Amino acid sequence: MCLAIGFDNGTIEVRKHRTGDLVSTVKLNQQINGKDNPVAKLFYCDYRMQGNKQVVAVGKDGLIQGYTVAISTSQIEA
Amino acid sequence: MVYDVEQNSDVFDYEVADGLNCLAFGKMRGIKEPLVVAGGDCSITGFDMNAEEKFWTVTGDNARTMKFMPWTNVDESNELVVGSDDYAIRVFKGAEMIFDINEDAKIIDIQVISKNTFGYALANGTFGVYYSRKRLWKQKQSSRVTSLAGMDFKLDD
Repeated sequence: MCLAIGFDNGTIEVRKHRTGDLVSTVKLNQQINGKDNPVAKLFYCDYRMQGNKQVVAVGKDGLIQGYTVAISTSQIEA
Repeated sequence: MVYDVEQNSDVFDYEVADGLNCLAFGKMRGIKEPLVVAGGDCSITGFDMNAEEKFWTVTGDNARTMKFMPWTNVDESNELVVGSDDYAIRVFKGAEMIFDINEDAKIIDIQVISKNTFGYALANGTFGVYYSRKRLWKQKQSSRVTSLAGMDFKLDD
């Protein structure tokens, strides 16, 4: 189990729910004016209806980015 | 307003008297039908399919975020976890408050991770995870947290 956290500087962190260890971190693309794109809302849902859920982030300027969650990451196994 | 997607029609339209900050949908203990629960200024109101008020209780200050979750292991009924502007996270079982957590800033978001585990975020940049009554961890960063998402994604546990 994980907790995804969206920040106002556009960073999205995924942390282990039990310990808070950082599993992965990504940053939303910047806005056209070069400023950070704050995360407006995070979703965890099967947006593509493929049977697996993904993290969907909506940025302040309307940008929508989806991230799939892969199980074969060495950080996760550690 | 409640809207039926499949029938493409309105179900009901209702104006909540004391403001609306957040909504939750779920089943309350002791009430048969599922409710739409609206968190307003100092109060929480539950409505059924016919826009009838089935449930009402008070919180301190504005209810900012709410989630239905099985908070205890004792039974299968859902509790309502409410984060409000007076720095408190309250857990309601029906209309009765069963637990109260005091934090040090306004609660921004509460997200269910799995059964009786939830993540929370505060206005001062703190975020963390509670397992029922126990806080598993918390962290503070300089940038403000805007949103959380609980992922019931199977890792090693």
